[in-house]
Amino acid sequence: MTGIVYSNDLISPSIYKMGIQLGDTAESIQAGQFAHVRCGQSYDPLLRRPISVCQIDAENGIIYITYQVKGKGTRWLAEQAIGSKLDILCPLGNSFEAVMPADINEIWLVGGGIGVFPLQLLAQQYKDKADIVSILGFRSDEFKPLWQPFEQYSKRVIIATEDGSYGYEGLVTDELILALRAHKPQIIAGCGPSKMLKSLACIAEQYDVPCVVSLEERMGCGIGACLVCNCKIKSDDEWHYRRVCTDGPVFWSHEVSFDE
Amino acid sequence: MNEINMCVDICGVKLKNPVIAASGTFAFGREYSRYLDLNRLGGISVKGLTLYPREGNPPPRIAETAAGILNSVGLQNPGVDAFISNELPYLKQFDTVVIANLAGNSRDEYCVAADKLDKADIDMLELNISCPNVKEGGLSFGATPESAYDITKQVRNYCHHPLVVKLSPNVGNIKDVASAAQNAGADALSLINTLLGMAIDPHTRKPILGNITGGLSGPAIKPVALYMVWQAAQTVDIPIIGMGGIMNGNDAIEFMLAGAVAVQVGTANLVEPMATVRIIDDIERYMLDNGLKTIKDITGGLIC
Repeated sequence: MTGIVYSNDLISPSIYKMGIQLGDTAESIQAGQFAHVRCGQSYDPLLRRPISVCQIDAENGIIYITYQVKGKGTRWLAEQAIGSKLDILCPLGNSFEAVMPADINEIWLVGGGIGVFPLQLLAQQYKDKADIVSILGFRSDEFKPLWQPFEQYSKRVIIATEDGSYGYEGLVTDELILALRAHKPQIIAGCGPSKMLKSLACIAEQYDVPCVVSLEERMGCGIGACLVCNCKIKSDDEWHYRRVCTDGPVFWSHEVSFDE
Repeated sequence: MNEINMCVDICGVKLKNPVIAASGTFAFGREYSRYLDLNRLGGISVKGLTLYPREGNPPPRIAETAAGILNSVGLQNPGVDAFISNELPYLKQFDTVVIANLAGNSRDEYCVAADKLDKADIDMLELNISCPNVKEGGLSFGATPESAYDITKQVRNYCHHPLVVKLSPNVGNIKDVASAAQNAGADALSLINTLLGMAIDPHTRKPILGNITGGLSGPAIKPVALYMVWQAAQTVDIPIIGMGGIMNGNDAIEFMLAGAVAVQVGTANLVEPMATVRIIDDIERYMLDNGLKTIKDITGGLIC
């Protein structure tokens, strides 16, 4: 489908937030789902870029994606002016809602760096039905615009920065452990670098708290056909490769094999 | 005046147009049915099948390169039996040619699987002797004229469907391998499979692919593919299905001019789910614009 760029703003060093008009599709998108965006008509870059939807303005049919400029694709995206047309496949992937039990009334969101965006939409969509605590980690306070949106949806926001320039100095998982010692939530939802998710899965298991995670993997078609984005998922005593793009990106953390 | 006929005949199998979805990029069609009418396709070459289910290679399995992609999926598939019972009935609902792509680790595995597929309601068998992503078998069967001859001959004994042999570009001389496959009883050839390649992350000093090496596809390989199709077409008498980086109608026409009767579209599906249908429309427009009535008016029409 064709999306029209509604806004495209630099919100933090090398990080842009883009609004895209998608019409009626916008309100059907669930947190955890992603847009697969073609970055120009040339063959370089060739592949689409999978980018999580971080916010929805259903009334105006606008979705928001936030992306870090890292390579050719995201650089092209950053150059798009308001009114530009985008070739988008959306929504793709399962969602947090598809994996989590229906009766959720308390969620802790645990995210790191640019991995916090799927959690932002989760917070937006669950704010009226669940108590939300956001525990987020960043390199420094330069990334403040990334955690600010969580403040309006969360009962409490705990920030950890690696350099100590804001909040607690250290890792988000350290703050999670401190919080878990005081209280265990109904469920944890996590997203971020795989090293962080691996620790998160261990901690959740240790404290016996159900935990879902949204994974990232290099992707091809994004619709489940090419099998390039597969990750190891355990069930009972065996494991199978499953597609991050369609079986995921959201999985129970105890099912994911992070040993790669 | 504008009555054009896009049908092509490959060894008695009639395709409504020359565009086939390439193996490994189209799964078993289901995922694409959301985006296009599978009835519109000339054919579908299904995900490479092996006798037993395979999990495939560790991730990452894809690396983007300049105008191309490297993949190292490693033939993840549910196995021939599951294909026949779960996927084939789905595909047979559509009015399109179903091509079973078969790979193997050993001669026996190829033969047992070919025998199972022979009894199934497929339209053609595409013998994959060119997968670069499996340690044993795969590419090694297609690497020399002798090994290509031997495996084609063996599988031919079990295959009563039209037999297409899919050739690798990772060979010394494509003409010799093409001839060998023809001499061993292939009814048609398809080429090219992916070119061996690798990608390295200079910051981590590590290969990007979990399997270290992979197969290169996409627009980057089109000139190599065209050359090999052209060479093979000058060497053999059997029909050739051309592929390698076809992204649009003109690309497809170029392969047909080089001697292909039909084409396969692979990487383009990953970029644009509706690529195959757009390419069919492009070819039709080319025929209309150029006053051509049949695909035969294009195939082998290279002027040099």
